[in-house]
Amino acid sequence: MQHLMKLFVVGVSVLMLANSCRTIYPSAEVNYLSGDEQTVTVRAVGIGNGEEKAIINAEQKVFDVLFFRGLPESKQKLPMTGNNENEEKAKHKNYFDNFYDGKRHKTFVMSSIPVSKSTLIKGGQKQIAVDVKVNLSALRRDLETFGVIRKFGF
Amino acid sequence: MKKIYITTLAILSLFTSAVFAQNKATDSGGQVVTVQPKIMVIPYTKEGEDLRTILEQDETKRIAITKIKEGFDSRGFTTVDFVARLKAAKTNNVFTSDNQTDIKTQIVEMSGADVYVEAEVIVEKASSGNSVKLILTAYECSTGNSLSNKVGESGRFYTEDFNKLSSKAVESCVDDFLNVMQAKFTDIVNNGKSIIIDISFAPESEYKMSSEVGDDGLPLSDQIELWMEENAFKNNYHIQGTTDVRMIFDDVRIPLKDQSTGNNYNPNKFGLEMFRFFKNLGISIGRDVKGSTVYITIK
Repeated sequence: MQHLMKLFVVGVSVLMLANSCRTIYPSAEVNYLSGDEQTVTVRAVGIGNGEEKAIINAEQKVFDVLFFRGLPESKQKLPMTGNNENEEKAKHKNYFDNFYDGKRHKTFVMSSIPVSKSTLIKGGQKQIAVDVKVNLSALRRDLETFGVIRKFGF
Repeated sequence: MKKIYITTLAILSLFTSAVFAQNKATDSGGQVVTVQPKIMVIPYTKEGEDLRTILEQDETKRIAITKIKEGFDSRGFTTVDFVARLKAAKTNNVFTSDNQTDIKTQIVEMSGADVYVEAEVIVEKASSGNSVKLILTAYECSTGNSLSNKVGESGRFYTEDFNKLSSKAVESCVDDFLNVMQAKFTDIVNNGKSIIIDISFAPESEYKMSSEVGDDGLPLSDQIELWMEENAFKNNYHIQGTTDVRMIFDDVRIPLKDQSTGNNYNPNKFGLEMFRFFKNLGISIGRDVKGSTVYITIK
């Protein structure tokens, strides 16, 4: 009986380990809701270990889309920095490390309101939909100040 | 003897540095600020419309233009004020023709603007509500290259407040318009500014484009193209056409900064390089620069 129990525990552990190793692909689940000259509000889906991390993931996806993809239907259809995220992140490593890992992105989030209950997805992670409002003009000025993008003009 | 020689050299070098040193009052210590393009926002005029009175009479257009300029201001960019230029032109009696298109061209030329943004405001009245549509186009003055185009709409509302509708139409597209314009500016920074080179001959000139010149005896037009190939920024140039008496490069890219010194570079400096090239060929030329067009007249 004890042997059977041991086998069960090992089996469950192996299954959990396999699930946690499952790759979570980066996604662009960011959709435009509204905006004006200075702000943009979007709905993004975030994934993470726990609700808080899922919300942060959703917020960071919003910035990823604004920086490297552009947001269709909004006033920021073109990417703010450039299409090649690897190149841009390597060129301005300090800025982006601080922005994402240092959670500096939070200073440009005017509101971040979960609009769904967090659900458990494969791999034991949580998924949540969040409405994120970004201070776009401050973000642009910040990118200009730190030399990530050029100021308007040559 | 040696002492005299050294003293003379020292005096000469002191004199030379005194002649070429920058004035202390303007010495920035090597700092170079990129020369920004001059941008002017002007209203669109149909044939026969009086450009001078159109803004004064039509406040909807005035509001649209002010809102567009606000858009530039919000990006930290100062535009050339069209109304101020218009008034200055009136005072100075710049206008020499009754033709409105000519007046527009004259204002654009007089302002020294590198880029002008034309705003067409269309007012639509209907039983389902009124609206304002806006067509925004940005051109490079010298080459006519289009930099950005957008159409803005206010949406239909049951209101007679066309000023507010005009504002809404501008707000709907100005950010996108500026983003596209900035993308084109970035392209200019990376790939060079477009200028026109117009080469012609003085009436008394002994040369033609087919004249064989230089040590290798190549036709003049080929000598010019070979030089252009080497000197256009990133080998980027386009020939509009060549005849025996004229050669026009309608798009030659020059860098914004001198690649060796880092100082600002402009069409006049490129014209100077061309002057040196012709001098090496033993040909004397006349050189005029107007905006971004360099006129070379072979004597």
